[in-house]
Amino acid sequence: MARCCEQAVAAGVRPGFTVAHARALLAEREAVFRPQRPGRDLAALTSLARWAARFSPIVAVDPPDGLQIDIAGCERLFGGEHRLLGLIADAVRRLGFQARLAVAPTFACAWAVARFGAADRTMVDAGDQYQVLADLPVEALRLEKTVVEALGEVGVERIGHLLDLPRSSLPARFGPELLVRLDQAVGRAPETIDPVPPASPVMVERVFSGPVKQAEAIELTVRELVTGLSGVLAQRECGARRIELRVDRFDAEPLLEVLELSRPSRDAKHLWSLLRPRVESINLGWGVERLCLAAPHLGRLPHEDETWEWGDEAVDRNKLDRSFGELLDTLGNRLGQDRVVRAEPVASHLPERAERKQTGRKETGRKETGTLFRGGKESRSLFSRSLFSRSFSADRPSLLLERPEPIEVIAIAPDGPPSWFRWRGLEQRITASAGPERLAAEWWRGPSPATRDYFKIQIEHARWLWIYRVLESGRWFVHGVWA
Amino acid sequence: MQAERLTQLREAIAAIEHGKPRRAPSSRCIGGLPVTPGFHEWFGLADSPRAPRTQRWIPPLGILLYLARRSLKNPDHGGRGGRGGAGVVWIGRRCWPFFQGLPPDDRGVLLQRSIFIDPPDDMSRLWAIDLAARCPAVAAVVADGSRLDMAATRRLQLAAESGSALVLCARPPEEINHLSAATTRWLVRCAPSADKTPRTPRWNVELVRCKAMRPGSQWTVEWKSAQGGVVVHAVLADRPDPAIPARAPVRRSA
Repeated sequence: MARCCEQAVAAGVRPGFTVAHARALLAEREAVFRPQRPGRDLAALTSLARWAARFSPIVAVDPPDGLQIDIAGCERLFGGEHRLLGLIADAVRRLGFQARLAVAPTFACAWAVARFGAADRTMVDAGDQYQVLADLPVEALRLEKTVVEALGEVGVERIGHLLDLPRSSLPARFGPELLVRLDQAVGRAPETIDPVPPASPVMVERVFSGPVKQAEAIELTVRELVTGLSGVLAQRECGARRIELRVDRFDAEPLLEVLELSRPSRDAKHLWSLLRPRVESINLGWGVERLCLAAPHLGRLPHEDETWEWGDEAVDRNKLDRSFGELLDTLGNRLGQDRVVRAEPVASHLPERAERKQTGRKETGRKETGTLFRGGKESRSLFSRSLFSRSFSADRPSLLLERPEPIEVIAIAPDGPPSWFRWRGLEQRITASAGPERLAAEWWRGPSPATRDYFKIQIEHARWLWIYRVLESGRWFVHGVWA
Repeated sequence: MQAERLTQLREAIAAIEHGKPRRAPSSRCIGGLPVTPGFHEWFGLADSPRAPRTQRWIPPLGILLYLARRSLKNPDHGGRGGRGGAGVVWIGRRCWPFFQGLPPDDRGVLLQRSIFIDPPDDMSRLWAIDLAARCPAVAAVVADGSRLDMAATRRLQLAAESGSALVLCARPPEEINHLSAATTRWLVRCAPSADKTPRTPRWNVELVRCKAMRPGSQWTVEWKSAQGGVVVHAVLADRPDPAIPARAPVRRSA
């Protein structure tokens, strides 16, 4: 057994037990056993280190289960070490991990306190490391097992005991490593860490030998760059969500053409069809010296076999998704992103609030955040989508006017439906009606006295309208049509 | 037997002419109305002949909503309706429907798979309809088809043929005499409610022109929000409503 959860620890299981032993202890509970894969653990730890680069540029992996972050200087950006520590702890917990954190003047001291300290989060101020370390067991110094055992034989169990012993006699009995580790912990010896390199940006570029003024040459080069970029993306199993074309011109400021995509794509043909009108309208000035195509935002896109037709449902669906995304991109690119919208049901009983229109990219953008880790924002939209839309069904028209149109009305009964009204300049007699259905204003949005009584009415042998009266003002409006 | 043979021959000829087999529209229907993947024009909403002339144009969205929903549901339609990937594109602000009238299950599915497009002018509207009709991931295009001329309808007809989407263009009733290359043209009129269901909107749907069927058939459809938006009355189908005098079918050579 390599690792176990908190509940297992409570049942008496410890790392290092055999699986059979652990099973016996956890007999009454439902235990899940998974084979340990050190390679995958390390890969996950590395991507966690990349993720942690948001707190500090220098993050190192400390296998098997640790991260070392050099926060010197970075804490100012987050409002002090305390707040930074809190931020990291919260963020890691949101990812679904348990973590013990320590901030200390040296890496060795932080390592020891995080693993053997009393609290989950510890701050060690500069100069305090002697007192803090004195209480910890000697294992906290990252020593070889034989050295720890040798120390135990002579009764040295705490680091405090070790510090009391004369320095000169230690290397002779326990080897040179002990003194180095001790010095590293208290800050007398330097320790370096090996930071994880940041993921290299997805970028392809061409530098011309001199300024190029031929539009055809530029077009051809951009086309090559697009092909190159899609190759790089295919290697990474990624698709670009945003593409930037940077044009460095001779004796002029560089141009930046930005392309936003509704879903990740690495289809060279599609990207080129989107880029082409932009490239054609570039002002070349005195000539172009360098072209650079980059994909700063990536989204995961599984590897696809372009030539082989499986006829499989999943593959088919992928293809449909892709062509739908391409349709969205093309439409949005030409008409403007705000003219291509999607709708989302909203938990509101007011008809004009029941569907929220929003541009396509925002919606998909939220869906596909992050590659490895997911944020926890899905619960709210889940609520509005499933619970509300299922529970509510009423007779509603098929067309809702963009804004209610006022009408003049003659009603026989004060609270009843009208018998005659004038709408869009024409007088209408009402032959049938149903209602009223009262819709109150949403009081949780603030005081707006607009309780409405809705009536479904039919004008002479013709269409059915949805009209309402504002209770407070007594004015009538047409709101929808059964068209 | 003979009819079968005739159908086969017709398909063979269509295959020679168009490069792929084309079935007669009546062979596959959506929800009781002979609407098949292709380009269709819907004229309406006109008032019943007895009512005074009214108002600005309002597209017959009830029926279009219903057909769009059916096109997503129907696995026969384009061979992918049931898969869940295809979407519906609503083009033109006037053709953005209100989904709350549909039953909750239908509403959610249709809303999630819909995109709404608001083209700034007629040219980009035509371009958007054309593009959406050619996209293999689109099950239905519902568009504002007002002011389309013959060339535009021909272009859309070709686009609808090359893809397999259901292209529904809503057009104002005044344009019914304009030339068009649509597969079918429909006229939707308001009809008086039935005596049994006095508060239910009803429409009279007339097939004005159809490439492979005799025009002039009429259906009466009823809005039932609990049963999928629109219900086509089987009993009343293909029988002129006695309340509305049957009119001579408008035939135009296109």
